[in-house]
Amino acid sequence: MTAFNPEQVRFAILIATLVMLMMAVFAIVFVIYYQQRRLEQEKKLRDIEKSYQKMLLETALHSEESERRRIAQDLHDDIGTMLSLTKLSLNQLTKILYKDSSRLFSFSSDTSNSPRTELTLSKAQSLVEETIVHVRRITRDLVPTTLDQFGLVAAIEEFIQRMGESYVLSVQFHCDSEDIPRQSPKVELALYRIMQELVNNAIKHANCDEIVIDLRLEQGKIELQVTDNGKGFDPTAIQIIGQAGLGLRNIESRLSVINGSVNYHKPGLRGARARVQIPVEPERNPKPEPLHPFRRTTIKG
Amino acid sequence: MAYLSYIERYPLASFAVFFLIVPLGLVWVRYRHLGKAFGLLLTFLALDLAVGIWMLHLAAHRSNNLLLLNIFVPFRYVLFSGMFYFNFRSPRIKRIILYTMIAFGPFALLDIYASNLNLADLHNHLVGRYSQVVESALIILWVLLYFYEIINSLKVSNILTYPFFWVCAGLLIFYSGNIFYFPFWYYINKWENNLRLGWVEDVPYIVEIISLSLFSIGIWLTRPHHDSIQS
Repeated sequence: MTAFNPEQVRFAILIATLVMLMMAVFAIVFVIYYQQRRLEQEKKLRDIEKSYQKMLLETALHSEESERRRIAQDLHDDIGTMLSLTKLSLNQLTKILYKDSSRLFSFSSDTSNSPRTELTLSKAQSLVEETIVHVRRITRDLVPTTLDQFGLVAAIEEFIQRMGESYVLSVQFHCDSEDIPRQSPKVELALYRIMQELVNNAIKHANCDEIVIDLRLEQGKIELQVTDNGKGFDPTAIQIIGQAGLGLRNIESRLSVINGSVNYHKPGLRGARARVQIPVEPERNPKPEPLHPFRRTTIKG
Repeated sequence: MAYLSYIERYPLASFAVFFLIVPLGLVWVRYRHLGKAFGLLLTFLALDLAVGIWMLHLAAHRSNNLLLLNIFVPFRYVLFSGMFYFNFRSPRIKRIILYTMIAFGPFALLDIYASNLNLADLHNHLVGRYSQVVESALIILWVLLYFYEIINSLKVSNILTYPFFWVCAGLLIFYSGNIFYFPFWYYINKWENNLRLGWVEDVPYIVEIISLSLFSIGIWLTRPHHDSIQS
């Protein structure tokens, strides 16, 4: 090997080493660049997926609301009208029966049937009236028309009033309606449904006798707080995926569409508090809504 | 006096040995946050410093120190590939690394024997002809495969703050800079050597200093939140 020419060897080693070092540096730079690029692409893809999920959720919620409106309209227009007509017919029948008592007796020779017929008729009347009330209640529950026309505060007040009729518990509502600007129908409806869900949860699971609803404007955010004095729950357990029930997940879904957030606290030894926050939108045009109670809305992609 | 004279004659070679104190000092600072792979790197740095000083001592007293280098090579490979063994996620590659770790020791010993037919003659002892080349090729392969795994898995969010990336970069620079140089060591590092390459003989030391600097960056980045692959 002494036959090696040192100059040639030196040159060969230098060139080969330089080439190898350049390749090594290129490999390092390439890994840095390519990895960053792939991460950026992955992030973009995740963002697209997220916005697509949000859009799907929004569409699903919109469809749900449309379906509620359709059912409410059918109940109001068809069943409601038919029940009103039935009530009218029964009223007329009663009048006919009372006015022409002799004719009534001619129907049956047995006079003891008269009070029984009267009783059956008034029972039918009261049943029809009760059914009309129920249909109205269901219709109102399905579509909060007050929300569309008078806003969130009025809708919550109406909801509490209705609660007072059917449940034996104290529901308080604290709000300065002057502070709360009108929001888009989507946001107001979402907040209303969330409030409904939280109150229903408190009634169903908390075993409470007092519920306090707070609605206020806090640092550019609308804050809705529902506090009960029931048995309470572990707020940390709620954070664990899979622990939350369907209602709470529904709240999360609605909030994700309007960029809101929810926190659960334990205000004291007893009870639970849910705090919902959503960013305030620019004030909505206070132009009065059309008075049609069941507007049909189209689903926007 | 002999040491000073040697350092004066070979400043870069001596500096490369003493530069090991930098990553070792950083290891001292970050000792609590070191994982298994960095534990092996620490072992390598400590062993390299000990071997380096011993070789310097022998060289300063004009004794052949190549036997130490020959013995160090299989240990070096086992320590470096062990780092990859702990960092790779693919069980198949891990298994292959393990087999090469087992096979490389006997191969290096065989290479020493083949390169030095008279092992008793320590004065004319020569460096192994193939073991360092094979070691370089294998480590470069592990580094490139590891880079491929990082890109594919996307588990590392910021590669510039991921400690093992810098160790890989150091290894790639070290072995790429030496892979064409190692075959000539057999012919250059002879007691009676007629082949002198001049300043090109300093290239391995420059490359070693660069790679040790990159190791130092990796060790410095070994903080608690950067210890996991998700860093």
